Amino acid sequence: MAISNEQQLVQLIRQTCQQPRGSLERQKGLTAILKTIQGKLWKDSSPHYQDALQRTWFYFCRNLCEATTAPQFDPERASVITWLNAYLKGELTKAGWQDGRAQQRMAPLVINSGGEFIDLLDTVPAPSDLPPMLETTREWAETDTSRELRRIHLKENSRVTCQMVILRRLPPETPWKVLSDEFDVPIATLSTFYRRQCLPRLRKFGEEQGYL
Amino acid sequence: MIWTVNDARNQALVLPLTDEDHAIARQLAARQPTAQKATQVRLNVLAVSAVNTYLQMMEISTDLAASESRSPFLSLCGDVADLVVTNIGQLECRPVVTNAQTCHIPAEVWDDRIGYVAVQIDEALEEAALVGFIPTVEAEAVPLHQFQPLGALLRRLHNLRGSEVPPARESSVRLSQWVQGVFETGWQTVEELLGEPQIRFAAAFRRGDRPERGKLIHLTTPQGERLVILIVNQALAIESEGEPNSDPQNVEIELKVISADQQSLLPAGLQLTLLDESGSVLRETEARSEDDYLRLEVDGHSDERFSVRVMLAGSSMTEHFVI
Repeated sequence: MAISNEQQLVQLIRQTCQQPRGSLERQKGLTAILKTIQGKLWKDSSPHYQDALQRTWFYFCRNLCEATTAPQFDPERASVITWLNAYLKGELTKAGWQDGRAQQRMAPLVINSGGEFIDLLDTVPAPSDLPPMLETTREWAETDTSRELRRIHLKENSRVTCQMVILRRLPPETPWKVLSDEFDVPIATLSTFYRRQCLPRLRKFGEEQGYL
Repeated sequence: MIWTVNDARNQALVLPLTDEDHAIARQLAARQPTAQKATQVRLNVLAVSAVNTYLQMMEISTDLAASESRSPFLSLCGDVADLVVTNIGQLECRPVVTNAQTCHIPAEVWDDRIGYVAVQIDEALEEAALVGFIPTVEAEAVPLHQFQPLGALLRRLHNLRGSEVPPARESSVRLSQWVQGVFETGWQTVEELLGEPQIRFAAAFRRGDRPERGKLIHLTTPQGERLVILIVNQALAIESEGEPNSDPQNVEIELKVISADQQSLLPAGLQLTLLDESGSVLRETEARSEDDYLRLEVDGHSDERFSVRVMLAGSSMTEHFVI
């Protein structure tokens, strides 16, 4: 649905609000209105802008058709953009007052040649008192005291055992495609085996270790 | 027709990523053992937060705490970005890099999902564009043009929920019934919740006719599961021995949160918030490192509504009350 002018927007708002709250038609209408007005609201470089904008979208969804957290939108008094900008600017001003606390810097991400995100911020290391989850899990799968992980295998290929799949999928995750080529089994067969046979055992181990 | 990024963004709904979204994503990423895994988790969690925001805006309830993507261990065991939609199932929210033409959907999430939402995250990590929805996948790389507009997601959620119409208001606890000894499910005496005989003994000394009940609250935080008890204690403002229920006009209500484990203090940062009927904050208090309880008081008259929220590290539980 393309909305080209204010008149159509007003009509879309009226139609949307005629639908019962929580209904599919109401939700679709709200989404269409949001898509129409996004990018048309006040914008500035305040460090609180994203937070204030999110509150503005909630304010919009809750009060467009009914007064839920504030008086209901009145199309006679202002356009929807004016109504939302007034709220957004108010939120930005409020956030500015409380600006005593230090802002956490957002680390930029860059994309490498492989098309992957690379995090420029050195990831905060896990606190040292935490159990080394990866090592403990790998050791459990390798040791396999009950020999259960070695015993359970794919019908199509007995080399594809729970133990092998778990170990190969722990970080650094071997791509499913590589495993599929190596064992000549479709990816979907491998992943279903993983979810049905490996994951429940991993979960059980995780629960015993207090990871879950 | 070849889809360009602009096309994808034209049908997309762009939502802001907040400081809180970032804080949670960073915390969960920090639990991963490798930088590569941490980056994956950080983006997955941001994508989940954006879809969660959208569903909250649409008043579709979700359960973040039950989502695999919120568990450091399950995130270690797989590339998961699921969001549990209450009583419906797991919705997978896949992050997409800015200029990509395809969305990566790893094989471990091909089964047991109600569908997939592609979420394009900009390099500054300020915005998340909900590109669209696809109910099933058969390959790890799905072209973005195969994703349908968000209306398809809304329709699928409605179909899965069947004809059940969501209640306009979540059910409220009726405090007036407590005076008559009628208590909603889950509200037990504090003694029952703590299961401690010495407390049972101490209870004998409390004033009678003050209906007091507590409810166990599970909060799933990146640091693990925390259990606390929300206690609601009400008294008529004018208590008279003979007719405790004669004048329900003014009621004094005490709200308290204690740790479910008597040996331990409350987790620092735990918030107890009193909200009015419209959801606006009336009063709020927060636990510091040495607090063993939080307490708020509210005065009200019959049929007045209020809500109480207990929150820790982004995980929250809200209870609604009618006096």
